[in-house]
Amino acid sequence: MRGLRSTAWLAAFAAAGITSHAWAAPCCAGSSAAPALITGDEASLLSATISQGSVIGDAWSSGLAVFRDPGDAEVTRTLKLEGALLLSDRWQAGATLPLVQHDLHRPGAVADRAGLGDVGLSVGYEALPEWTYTEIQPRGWVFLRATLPTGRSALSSQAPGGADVTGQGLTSVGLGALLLKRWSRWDVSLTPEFHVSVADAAGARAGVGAGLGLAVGRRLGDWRVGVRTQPQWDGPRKIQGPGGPEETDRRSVWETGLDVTAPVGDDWSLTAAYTDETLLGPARNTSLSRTVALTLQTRWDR
Amino acid sequence: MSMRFLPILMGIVGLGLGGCLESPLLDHVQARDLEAVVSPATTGCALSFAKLKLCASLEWVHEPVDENTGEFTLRFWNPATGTEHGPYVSPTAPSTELKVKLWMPAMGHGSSPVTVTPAVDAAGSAVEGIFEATGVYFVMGGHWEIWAQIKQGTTIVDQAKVTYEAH
Repeated sequence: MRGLRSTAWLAAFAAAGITSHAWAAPCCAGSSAAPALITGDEASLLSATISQGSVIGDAWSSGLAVFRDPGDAEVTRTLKLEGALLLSDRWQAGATLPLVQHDLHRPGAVADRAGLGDVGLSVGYEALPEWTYTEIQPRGWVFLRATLPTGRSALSSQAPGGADVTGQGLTSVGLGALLLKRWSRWDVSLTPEFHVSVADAAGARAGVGAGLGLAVGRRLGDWRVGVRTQPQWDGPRKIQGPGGPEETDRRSVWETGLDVTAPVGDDWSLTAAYTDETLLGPARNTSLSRTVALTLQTRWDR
Repeated sequence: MSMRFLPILMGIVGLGLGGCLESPLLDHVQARDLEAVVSPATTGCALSFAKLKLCASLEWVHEPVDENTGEFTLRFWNPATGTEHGPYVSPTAPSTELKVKLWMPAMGHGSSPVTVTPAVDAAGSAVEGIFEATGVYFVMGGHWEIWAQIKQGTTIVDQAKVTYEAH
């Protein structure tokens, strides 16, 4: 029984690993990461993640990456609560509630602010169930995720250096899929995702974006070690600038990460994750962060 | 490892190689190694207010470097009756005020609020047509716009901009 539970846990994190992401710096569009999904035999999941991300540099629209100097510190700490609940055999729903704190010690701006981030709601459907095991066919879920602009955006920031920015100021809707395949001790998942930003606080229409996540993991006893990479693209956004309607530049960033998951008792697990936006590229029109995160998750079986 | 992992490995290697081609870690510059900030020409009628038929110049007292936020001076004149050397005229009426907004068009966001106050002479009296902008801070490097706006409440009566390359 213990082995089965561990397997379920690790399978859950095989999917969840790719969904963990660094919080973007105040200036930038949000991650296109997938929501937390139930991919095992659970009826519900609840997780709490604490993370700390440091902005290492900025990638300009031209592609020039400029790393910030020592003493130029911009740190974001996030406490994120996530839950997922099975509604039926194949349908599920989830929610994300982030609390964000920014700590700036930059030339000309020293500030510390905290607040509610952008709340996320999601529904998922198991489109490719695994009635019988095959070597090739993966299990698959499709999901629809809405992100609500409950955090303060850069457009409405009033604090030095944008320290009070906790969200994107955009209502966005994402449609994606999670394909997950396990072979003995190995697991692989692929997460294509497409999202569109509906509108911002000023009523301006925004753009579209996409992401493609790939994660590979291997069980080592009861533990799981995984690596993941996720390029993300965001197209130009139509916004209301000071002089009238205008378009932002395209944005791209490439997240790469390492996850280590260990079971903690029968119903809990702990995941340590490292995410780096400086390793792979191209990166355009974005800040570049490195983030460490710790996730404690509990589950309830069906 | 069996052959079934071969496509996966090829995919990972392909993604990795593609991503490595433009790795920020392998190809970046340090902020301190960039050339010094070169301010665009802001003398003469750098800021042209079409509706109010006024000109303004922007002169940096000091740019936002090291531990300090930036500070600049705005001088307004009527090109029909004056030059950048004066006489200066007030761009505001009792119901309007001068605001400065920093804007990064590539990302579509602003920066920290800028404080704008009338310049004062040695006696502490406001000098007509000259304003000091303090607390100028750009949240990240790149191409920025500095907008001077004459506002009546939330309505923009007139505005003009200059560009700035922040490192």
